[in-house]
Amino acid sequence: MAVGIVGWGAYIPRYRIKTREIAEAWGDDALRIRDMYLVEEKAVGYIDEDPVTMAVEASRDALTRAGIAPSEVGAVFAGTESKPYAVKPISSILIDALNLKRQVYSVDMEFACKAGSDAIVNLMGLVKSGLIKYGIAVGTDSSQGEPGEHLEYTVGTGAVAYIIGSTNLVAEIKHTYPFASDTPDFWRRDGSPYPVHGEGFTGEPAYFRHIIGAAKGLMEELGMKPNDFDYAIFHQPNARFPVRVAQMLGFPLEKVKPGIVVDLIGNTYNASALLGLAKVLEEAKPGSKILVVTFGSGAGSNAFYIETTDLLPSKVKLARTVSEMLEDKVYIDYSLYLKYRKIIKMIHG
Amino acid sequence: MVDQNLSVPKYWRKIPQYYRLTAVKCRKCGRVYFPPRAACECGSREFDEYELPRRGKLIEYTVLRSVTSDFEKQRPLAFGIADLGGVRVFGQLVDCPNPDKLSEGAEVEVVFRRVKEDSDYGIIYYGFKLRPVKGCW
Repeated sequence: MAVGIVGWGAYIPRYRIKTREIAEAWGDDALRIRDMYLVEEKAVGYIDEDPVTMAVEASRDALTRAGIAPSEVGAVFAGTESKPYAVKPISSILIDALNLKRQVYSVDMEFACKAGSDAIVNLMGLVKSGLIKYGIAVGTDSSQGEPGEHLEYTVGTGAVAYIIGSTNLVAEIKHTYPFASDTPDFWRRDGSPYPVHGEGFTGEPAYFRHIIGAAKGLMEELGMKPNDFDYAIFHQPNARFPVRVAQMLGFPLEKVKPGIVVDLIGNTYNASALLGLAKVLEEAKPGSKILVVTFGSGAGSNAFYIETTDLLPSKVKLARTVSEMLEDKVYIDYSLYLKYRKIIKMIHG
Repeated sequence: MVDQNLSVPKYWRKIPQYYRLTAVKCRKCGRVYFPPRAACECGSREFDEYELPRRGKLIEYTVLRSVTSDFEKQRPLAFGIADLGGVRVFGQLVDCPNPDKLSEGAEVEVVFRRVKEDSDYGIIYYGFKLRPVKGCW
């Protein structure tokens, strides 16, 4: 049975802050910061936006593109690391916001930035087993970056949703391959407002080892090489890492660039690589072969081999595109950024 | 737009309206009511659920600079009446940093947003708001 993507939707808030603006507030060299991360600006949700609201927006567009009735959805899984409630699911809010039926498997998933892609893998299994007809996988985050610390330059805001099914596919997910281990590269303790990095673990032992492990494992199982793919999309904590990992794997820049969005919206965590995939789906021709490798700290990767179908082009304009949302923006300064992200602590909140 | 000072049960009962703009359509004459009514002007009491379209036109708007304490940190607040498929709906206008740029007739879309929250420990109330499609800045 062929299983894959029936529809997709994305959401990027309208507000943006330039990394230069943040650097000026903290006395950093803006050019050096840009050179380190290649992130020009990042998306900022307004006071009333959070991973729930963005998940609803992305999922509505995904249902529109899929052209299915909400009552046909049998599962909704939300991947996030920035739940507004410590205990109360995003997925149950999605059930009522999207008018899904009550007989829906629903759960929130957490594996740093990887859980949204785990939602896809799990839904593939439910569809293949015949337990559900369609499922919604969401990656949504409005994560935290401590003011004055470097994470603040890249942590963005956004969401993406995919309808997974076995009929009317816009892209077939032909193979998956996981690679995970206990690697302490990045974490946020319970009750802590901001995450921290494990010194020296971020790059080689975490991001590069897991993405390369998953990508190579997938290609070896399929007997494929980088030349066989039209696009390669990787998790994007900044714009340097995905380009570097592509080089290490042997993918040329032109196959990686279309799926990079971090330079304009920051790292959207669970939406990161999957938002890159949404952008690529907007421009890919039928029959395109796409490699997607997600990454979550802690650490693990899921690699996907995806091939687009003839149905894809007819679906692109049915809802807001990533390209449109990248252009639909208004800049704010650092004071409004602190206000919108509720970073200023007030007695009368 | 969620009513202020809601209790959790009251909010819960109105979720279809707050989240999805669920109206009712009279089976006899086709009139649409939002919020839903128990009886139609034609006398019928038989309705079907009907979700309002999520795009429409701004009919009227106003900008508030004196607001209740729950919303003081979000000033100024813009509110408007939008025509959504022939039904007039009142709601907060968002993503509008410069309300002076608002104009009647502007295209608006329905968005899903936080409306308020009960301190740092209580429930978060979600609901619909209205957003100018082309922005206002």
